[in-house]
Amino acid sequence: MGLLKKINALEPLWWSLFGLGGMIAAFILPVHLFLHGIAIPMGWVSPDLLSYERMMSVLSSPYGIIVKLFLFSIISFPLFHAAHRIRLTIEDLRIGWLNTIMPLISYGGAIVLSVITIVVLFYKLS
Amino acid sequence: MKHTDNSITEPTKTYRRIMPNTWWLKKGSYTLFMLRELSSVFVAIYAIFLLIRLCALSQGAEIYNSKTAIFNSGWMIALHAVMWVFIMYHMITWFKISGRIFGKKPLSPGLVTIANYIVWVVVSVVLFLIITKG
Amino acid sequence: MAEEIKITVTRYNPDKEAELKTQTFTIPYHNDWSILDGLNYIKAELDGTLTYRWSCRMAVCGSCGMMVNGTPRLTCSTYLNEFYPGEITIEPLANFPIIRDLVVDLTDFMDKLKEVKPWIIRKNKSDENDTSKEYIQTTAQMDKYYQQTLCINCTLCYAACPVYGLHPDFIGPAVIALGYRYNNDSRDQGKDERRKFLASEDGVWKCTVVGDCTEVCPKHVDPSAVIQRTKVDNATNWFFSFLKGKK
Repeated sequence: MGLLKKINALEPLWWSLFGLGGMIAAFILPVHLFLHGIAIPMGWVSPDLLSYERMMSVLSSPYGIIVKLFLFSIISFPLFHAAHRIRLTIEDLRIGWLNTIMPLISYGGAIVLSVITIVVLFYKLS
Repeated sequence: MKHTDNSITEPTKTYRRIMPNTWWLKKGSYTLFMLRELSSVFVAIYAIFLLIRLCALSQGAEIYNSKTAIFNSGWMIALHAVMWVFIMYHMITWFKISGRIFGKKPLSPGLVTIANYIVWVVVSVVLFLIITKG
Repeated sequence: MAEEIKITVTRYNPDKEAELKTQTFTIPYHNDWSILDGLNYIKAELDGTLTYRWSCRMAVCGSCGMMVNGTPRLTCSTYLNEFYPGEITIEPLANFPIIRDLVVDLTDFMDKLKEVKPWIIRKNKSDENDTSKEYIQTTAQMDKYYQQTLCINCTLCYAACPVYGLHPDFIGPAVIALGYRYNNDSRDQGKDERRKFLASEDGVWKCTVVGDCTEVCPKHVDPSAVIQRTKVDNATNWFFSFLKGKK
């Protein structure tokens, strides 16, 4: 229980990450999702944009580091955004048993996935 | 930090109403609120999809191409369309609230919201050009 | 025959009943009658035992708030003509315990109101009794908090807030708005003192921005916006004190 108390004491941090992620989700994800999830698969714009060869050449180009930082921020911060919102919604839905461990699951999940993102982007894809 | 001793002095036997767990279905604004909160689930799914693509990329062309084929399938495109609608709803509510937070005098909430949309359009066009032409 | 309108009210008598009941009255319809006028008619002409709170009849005292067809409203400034020829259902303000009929127990709200210290706090306590000093304020400084001074403590925002309904420990909209009002007063120095309460576990962080408090506020205090501003302020403060190594 001590751990949960510590997590709750970090509320300003979680809220700030929530805000940052929400901002990124609002400004960047609409166009990003539209392109990657709909327009490119539908063939409205060149499907080669996401080909293995092109992706690898972009990531290993001199601008690769910027692309990687961009990818990290549109993965990690939105995850923290979602973690915070889902946690509070579970509280509002009064799912009691889930409620108490939700901070651990949600923020813990966002942290783990962010670490994986860093490893993949900056270690495996380097 | 507890605020008070919480001892509600009850002058007589008061009647306490309990909110049903379906409270968010009782009122339009509560339901819209819940849909807004639900948008975050799709935000998370999209972030995880991106991570899956990157993992596949790090595992070589064969795995990446087979994953890409899944993302190009009809039902995946349909799922992304649903996700896109929710993320657009998130964007609309986010800009509306940020207008209210930062729209203090001499600014106004409407002005801040409009500024948000202008930045959004610029960001979207720039990103579109970088991703498709860059 | 003159036109009539039906009003259904919640009845609860703690000495006789364990459950809430409803009772429907048919009253004469007048275009210029407020709902409160209708209730006064019922009490004077039809059933003298109907219990409800009211005082000023002009949206200043904040005591006649009730749920009108499911939405918290001041009954003195909500008119029958908004609903006529439909029917009207009046319930006691949501989320509060009911004392009798349409009267709710506001003790919880009053306790929280005290806790936020809605008065000017000076670091130098002797300032508070020193009447010789002047504290000049510009209009721009007053603009920072003026909107929140308009709060009449009617608690409609509490009845509209599902977070308060679900978590009764939540400090709630009006009290946070009043904390904001004093925090942003150039004469006040009590921000840190109030922070302990406002940024507590039951404070601003509990708010999930449903936004209904702002919608129902008869004085346009906009609690939902100032709660978010208080979050921004507390998060900023948290990071600065973290950097300074206070945490």
